[in-house]
Amino acid sequence: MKNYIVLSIALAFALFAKGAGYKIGDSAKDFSLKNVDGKMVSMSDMKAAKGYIVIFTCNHCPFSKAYEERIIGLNAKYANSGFPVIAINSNDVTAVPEDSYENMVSLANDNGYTFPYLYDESQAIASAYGASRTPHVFVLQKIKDKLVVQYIGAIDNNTEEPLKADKKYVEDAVDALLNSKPVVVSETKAIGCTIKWKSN
Amino acid sequence: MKKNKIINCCFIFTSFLIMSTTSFSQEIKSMQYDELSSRILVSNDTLYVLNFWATWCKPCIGELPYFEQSNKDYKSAPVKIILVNLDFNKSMNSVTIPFVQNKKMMSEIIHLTDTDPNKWINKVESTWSGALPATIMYKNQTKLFFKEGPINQDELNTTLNINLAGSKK
Repeated sequence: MKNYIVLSIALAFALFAKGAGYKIGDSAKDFSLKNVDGKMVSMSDMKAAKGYIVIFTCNHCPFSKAYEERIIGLNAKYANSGFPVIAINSNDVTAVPEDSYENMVSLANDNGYTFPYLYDESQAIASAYGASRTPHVFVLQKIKDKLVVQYIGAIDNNTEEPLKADKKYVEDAVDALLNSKPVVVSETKAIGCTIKWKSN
Repeated sequence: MKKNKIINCCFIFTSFLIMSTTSFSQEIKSMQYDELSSRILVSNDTLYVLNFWATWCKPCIGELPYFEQSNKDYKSAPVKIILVNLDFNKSMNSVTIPFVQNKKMMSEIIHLTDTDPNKWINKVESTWSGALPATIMYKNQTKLFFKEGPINQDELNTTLNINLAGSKK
């Protein structure tokens, strides 16, 4: 009996740990993270924004690389209409040295990032959001003083061949929000690199 | 002299043939998830172990030797280990095949050609985010184990032993 209790408690903890992170409709927390220009960035700094396209990504992952152009494209398309892109790298540098802050700076410079690329060194933001892979997108909408999670998932449905992607999930979600319509597909899954968590 | 040369050539050629059949790694089959699932969701006592991996995934590469080891160690048990590769279709010839040959991998390898993961990830496991690696076990059309993230040799063997219990040897 005692064993069962211990097991149930362990199971409850395991489920709790797994279930951590945001669901659709949750209110997301703001952050203050170091950008590639050395300045701290928070969502609240962008006062005119109607919402944000928060993308957990990194330097090394082939999926992040495959989507890099499309991430730049999303910001080009939606920053002016009120949904800027905010990219965040949360990977543990010890696990993947290529994901260092210095490399983030060169990547952003070399590829002309027009949006903040932030370093979540403590991994607290990835953990709070429940980001598990790269790229992993959270579309947030400002409703009164809250940042409501409206979409979680992939950018589109074809990583390898952008031209063959016939479902552009993030664009569809943001278009819906801009037109005051509900987001039809609010959650999608995708293959991606795991976020590399610190071992302690 | 000429005859010797021919014999020599024949010898080298034969040795090469023998070498390639004995030490050569697995061929990679390509298919869509639905075809794979029809192969593993069957009514028999075989424990099907799928490990989803890619050459670009560091922790996946780290745990491949464990699956290779278990593939050897459980040869006489009703276990079928399938390494499900998720590299891009375009990198099969340039990256995946050379990798598999270089490592002389002997477990069965299947490359999934589906381009829209949102369609099949939930069929594998609803709690899987899509991050790699991931390991899943089925027997008699029943899912017995799922883990997102790396697995070590002990955990793999223990899980194999637990789920093999009841299978006919």
